Amino acid sequence: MELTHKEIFERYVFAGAVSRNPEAVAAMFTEDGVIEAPLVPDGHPLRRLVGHDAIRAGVGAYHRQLAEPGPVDAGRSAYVLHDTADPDVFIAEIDVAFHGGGPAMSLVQIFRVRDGRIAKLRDYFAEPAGGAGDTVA
Amino acid sequence: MQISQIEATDLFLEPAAAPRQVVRVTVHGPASGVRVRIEGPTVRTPEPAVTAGLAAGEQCVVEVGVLVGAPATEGSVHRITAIAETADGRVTADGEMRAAATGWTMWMISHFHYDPVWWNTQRGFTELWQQLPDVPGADRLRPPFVRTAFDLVRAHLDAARQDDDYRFVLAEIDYLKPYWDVFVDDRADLRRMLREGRVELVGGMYNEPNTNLTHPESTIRNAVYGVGYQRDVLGGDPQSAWMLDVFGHDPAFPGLMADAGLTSSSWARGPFHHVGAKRHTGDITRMQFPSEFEWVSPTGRGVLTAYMANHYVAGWDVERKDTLDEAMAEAYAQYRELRKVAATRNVMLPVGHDHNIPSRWCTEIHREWAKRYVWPRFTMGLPRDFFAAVRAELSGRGAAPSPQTRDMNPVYTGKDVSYIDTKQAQRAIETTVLDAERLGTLAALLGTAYPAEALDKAWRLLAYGAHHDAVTGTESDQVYLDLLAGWREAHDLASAARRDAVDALAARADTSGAGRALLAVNPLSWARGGIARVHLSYPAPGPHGVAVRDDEGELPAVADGVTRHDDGSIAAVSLSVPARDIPALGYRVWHVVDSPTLAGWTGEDGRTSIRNEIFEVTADPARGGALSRIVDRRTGRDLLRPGGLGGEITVQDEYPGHPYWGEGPWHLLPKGPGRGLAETAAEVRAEHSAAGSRLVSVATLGELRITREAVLWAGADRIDFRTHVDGSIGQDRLLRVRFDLDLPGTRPVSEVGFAAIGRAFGFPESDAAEDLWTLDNPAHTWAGLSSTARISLHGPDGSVRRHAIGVAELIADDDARDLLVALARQGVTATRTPAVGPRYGALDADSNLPDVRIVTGAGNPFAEAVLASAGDAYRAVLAATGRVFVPGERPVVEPGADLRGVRDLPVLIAVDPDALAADLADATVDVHQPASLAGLGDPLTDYSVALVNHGTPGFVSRQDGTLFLSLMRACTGWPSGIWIDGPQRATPDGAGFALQHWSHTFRYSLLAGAGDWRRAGFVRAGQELNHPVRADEVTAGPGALPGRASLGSVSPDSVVLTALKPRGNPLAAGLAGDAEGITVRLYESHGSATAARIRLHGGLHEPVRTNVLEEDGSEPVRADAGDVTVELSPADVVTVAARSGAAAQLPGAPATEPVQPVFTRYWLHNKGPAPLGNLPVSVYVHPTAAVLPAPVRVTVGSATEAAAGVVDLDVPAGLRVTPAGPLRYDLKPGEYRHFDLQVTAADAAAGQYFLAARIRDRAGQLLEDAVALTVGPPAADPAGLDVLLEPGEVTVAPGTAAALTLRLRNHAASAVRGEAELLSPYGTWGAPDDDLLVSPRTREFALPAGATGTLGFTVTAPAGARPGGRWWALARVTSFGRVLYTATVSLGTTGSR
Repeated sequence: MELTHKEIFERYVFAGAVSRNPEAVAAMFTEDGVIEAPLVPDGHPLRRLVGHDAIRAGVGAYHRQLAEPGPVDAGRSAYVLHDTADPDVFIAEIDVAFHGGGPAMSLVQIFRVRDGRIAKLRDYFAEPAGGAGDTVA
Repeated sequence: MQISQIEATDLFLEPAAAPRQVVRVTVHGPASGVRVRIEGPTVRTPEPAVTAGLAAGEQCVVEVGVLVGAPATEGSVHRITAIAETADGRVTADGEMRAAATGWTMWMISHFHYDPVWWNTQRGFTELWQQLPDVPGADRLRPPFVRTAFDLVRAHLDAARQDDDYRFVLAEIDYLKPYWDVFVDDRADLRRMLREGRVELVGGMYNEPNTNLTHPESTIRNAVYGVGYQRDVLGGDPQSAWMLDVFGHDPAFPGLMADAGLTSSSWARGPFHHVGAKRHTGDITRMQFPSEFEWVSPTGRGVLTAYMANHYVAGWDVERKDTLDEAMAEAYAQYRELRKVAATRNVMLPVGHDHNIPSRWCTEIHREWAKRYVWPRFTMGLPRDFFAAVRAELSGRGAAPSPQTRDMNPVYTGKDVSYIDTKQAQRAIETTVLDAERLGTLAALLGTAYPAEALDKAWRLLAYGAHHDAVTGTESDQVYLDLLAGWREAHDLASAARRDAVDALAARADTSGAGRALLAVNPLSWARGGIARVHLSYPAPGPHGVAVRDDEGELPAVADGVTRHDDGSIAAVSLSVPARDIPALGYRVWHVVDSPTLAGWTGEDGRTSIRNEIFEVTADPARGGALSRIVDRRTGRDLLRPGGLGGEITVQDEYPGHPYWGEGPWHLLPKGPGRGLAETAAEVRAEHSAAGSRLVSVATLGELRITREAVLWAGADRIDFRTHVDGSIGQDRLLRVRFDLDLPGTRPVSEVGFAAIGRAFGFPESDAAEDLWTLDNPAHTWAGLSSTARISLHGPDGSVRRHAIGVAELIADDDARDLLVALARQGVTATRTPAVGPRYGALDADSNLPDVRIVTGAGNPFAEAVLASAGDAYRAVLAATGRVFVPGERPVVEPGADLRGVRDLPVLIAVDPDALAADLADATVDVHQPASLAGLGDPLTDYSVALVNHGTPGFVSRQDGTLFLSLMRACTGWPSGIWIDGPQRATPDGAGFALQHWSHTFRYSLLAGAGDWRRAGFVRAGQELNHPVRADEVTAGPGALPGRASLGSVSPDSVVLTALKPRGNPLAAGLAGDAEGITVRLYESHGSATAARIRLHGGLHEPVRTNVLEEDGSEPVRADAGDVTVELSPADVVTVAARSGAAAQLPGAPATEPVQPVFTRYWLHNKGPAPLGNLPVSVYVHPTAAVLPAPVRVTVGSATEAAAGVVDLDVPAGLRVTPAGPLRYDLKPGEYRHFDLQVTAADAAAGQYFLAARIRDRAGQLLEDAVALTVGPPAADPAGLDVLLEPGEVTVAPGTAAALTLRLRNHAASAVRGEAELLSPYGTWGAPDDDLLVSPRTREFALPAGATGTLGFTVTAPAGARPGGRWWALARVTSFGRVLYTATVSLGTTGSR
């Protein structure tokens, strides 16, 4: 069964932001799948990841980061999907809120899909400052 | 000169070869140089006693040693004359003496009873008691003879070092592990004393758990940790379950301990009220069986048990004497009392109290007594010496210890209700841990790493919480909070492990398909349905409605709550989903798909009745909204008595302390019947959905608002009740729910560990000042009215009339073990007594009441007395058939009952005990006698009703069929309100935590059906309700396994899977490494022998029958094609180990503590058990505080495994440590190394500094201990931290979240690190039925000197959260051995329903 763009996006959000499962995130990508986050500084765990092992490790490292903003509050978040001229490419325009009162974040993700899996994800986000407001952790 | 008294004793003087019995002669002066002897036809005095001169008016007691001519059988009476002679003349006096027996020994066993927590904290009891501020009543709480655990172990070791005769016992892991790890220099001496038999490690348990309040698997794991540590780490040989103070016992306990390889047990509470027959009645001989007996479980397995008939403090009265002579007199008085009930010529005198230093007199008595007398011997000993002597004498006589299956309950009925939230937590976590273990094992069969460390710690937290001053609710407020932190941690560990296992299963299953995937999981060994609670949230745009489908189509899910985005689409929704046919030990994939509509509950005001296929229930608004009818539509039976109510809530006022006993939380203290909600009017509303219907009523009683839901799910054969209690119960009140059942002739039956037993009717509405013994009892998952076994009276006309029996006195002159076991296997516990002797059944002494006497053998004098009273008609039946049932003459049992009279109870007389035992196989004893001889009592109604509980174990039934379940209480009795560290904290309304002034939800279900509890299916229902189907959202995708699969199963129906886990418990022995193979534990629940078939994914090979420790498997079990068939005797508990045919699991990284570094003096932080991994290697700094300059010693010690590395010192700026290091260690298992350092203040301002020493363990954790160092004058605030949790009040709407902020300020002169845990009550931990999630549970922090900082926490309410609830949270901040608690903040959900 071919997944729709909406299904691919929702499953990606569930695997990553909601259930924080690096294994499941990696499994959504093609074997040679790529994650790029062009707006984050070098050394950030999501800066560029190629292949399942790198994606699993990088996403896992990101989830373990102390400054990482915490679990997504889906009920206060919203997104719009934009199809493009290329049927294998779609764009997600996202406003995301987090549990714990941290500041909201707006971002854009560009997905390239091959055979129902993500071949390339360019994730245009910038780290919000301060996480959940901690200053001592 | 005059002789005033002649008194024979059971003392004997030398020589040992011809001991002389002591006759005490009282001689009055004036006299000089008196020689006293005793003569008589059969008595002579080999050597007269001589005493010095006596002045006029003076008297003395002379001990004359006499020989009694053979045959001098014990107790034979001999005429004697006492003759006192002086140079001036002689006087005589006639009397008589009884010949005494030689061969008696009193074993003085030095012990200290230890509570790891109670009114005092773990840090107090373990290490700091003497340094902490005094609490009210400190004089009584800290008598001169008590010390901390560390001081006590050292003191008892020192006593043994200094006195070769000293013997003592050590027990709980709570202090053994810290002591072994910290005081490494004592290891060699402790090991030596173990080898020399001078100390015995007793218990074989983690602690002294209250096993009647916990899952029997918790009991087993308690032994796994106890034996694992005492045997495998310390090198002991634990043989005796040492349960001194425990408030009653689970009937499964002795059988499980026997299966764990223990050979004995000893304790002080159970068969009689809390301090025993002796202390309650003054007469120790009221005991109906000897103090040494075989305590037998319904499985038929048991252990030799020594009941401490004068309490575990008996020998401490010796200690209270000022001189050795007085101490010896007291020891002799104890001996004289205890020997009256001894099974052999061996008496155990426990010499100890609570937390006591070594007895100063016991070795003195040991030496001095032996100089004076050859018999009896008063000797220092160990429990194993005593038990060996008992066994030797019994075996020499060709006798066995008296077997007893008596229910050792109830004791301290308040323990079943006080701090009810912690009992709810314990139950919920036990089932989650068991589910996580099962699902983790299934996932491991599919190749995933098993979460060994996480579940190991969860079990240790549960073992710690199962202590008899923890789960019992008898603790102080601060200790409650500390325990709550442990339960929350166990909950989170188990939930995460369970969730990981679900993800692992989902990753291998085909979860693809439209919509979001859910994996509905069944942790039970049979296929079943049930209600799953699911919470989903959607970013905008969400769907407008959702539907849940399985592979057969849509499920009738109903939304309990929904929040929507501005565009009207769903933001969050909570669903109740009726599951169908979830495979055994398996799963079924569901999909949540978008739907144009969302099914919810639709209300119908004014309607007061609902029905499903099985039940129809009706509520009465005029009577508070309680149910006025509960009709079983299958049979038309109304379960309630005419005019009676179901689900009625009663509030009983209680005494704050007992008028006589003076104690609070451990007694139930009602002042009478109290009030019910039925006195008020209430709103009642019926609500309907495709999933089922419910009646909702709201009523208020004082400041309490009580919302009751009775839910009939479509097709369900039970009624689910949810009782929500908001507001304040006030203080010293007890809340119960009541069902006025109409089941004449039935009797109380309750599930206990791996069995169900009969229990007595009780007196829930007593005034405790007059009748303390209400006979409330703790049940495991269910209790109700039914019959355990029955006597069927067959009339010659073909009529059958049945009489239920539940608790028996078995009067037999042989030991009758087979019949006892046959009765217990059917749930009839029994006290075995001889025909002539004290009878069982009087509430001035006995902790419970029998309802039948069973007499076996022809010509039994008790049977004769019964028949003489009952008449010839009964005698004729007995003569003709070999059996007769004689009805009792006291059909109504009153509070304080004394049922010892010959005809007070019904009596079954059976000539042939073996035939009777065989007849019990179907739980029915057939007796052929005319109906006219059946008596006037109600015949048994062939129908059963039970309430399944979720951690509200306390129940009681009035004799008229009114069944009560205790829900909660607010008890102000001591130690409620006791607080040790820092300002006393309270709930937001200012009340103590024991008053429970926050929102509670109590869930319970009513089960009903024809036949007894077996046929009515209560066992499976109790399992299904306590292990609900859970459905978790998982990643959708293809997988090799189908979307619906069973990975294992057990048949037949009567056999219940209780544990499925990797074989072995290496972590309990301090070892790393993965377990090999699989362990499956089963129990037979119906009292019938059966062959159980076990099927598991991948197959099971080379199966063996092993024990509960999963060791020593040598007895092969049948296997064919990977399936295992094992024979179970009735009520059996069987552990099978096998090799899995599945692929080996992948190794995983061991779990580590979320807060690093890990503080190694975890007890100072009131953390309960040791951290994840159990610290096989640890580091400590000595001392824990010093003023500079100071020497400091750092010790790295291994308990069990090799370790090498470098100690990392964190030295604050301005301090200097010499030598500089590096501090390298390279240890073999069991070795340790000290590093002696000098710390100076090189360039440091006045203030408090913390110097830490750290090592890294094999799992990668940083382990750390610290010393507080003072430069200059002592710090005004040694805590060094300010903490504040904000805001003071947080209210969240369902479906939303809010933030809490913890503010910290470090005013020490150096950096501090530590842990901030957010504590909030059960119900706010994010479980599927919870109304809140307060998270994260814990956070680490590090603050430089003088710095401030904040930590964020979140309070989230699911969409289906109940509006108007109120809870609380506070932070416990621990750092370098200090503990701080913030004030509570109020948490709530908005709105009202």
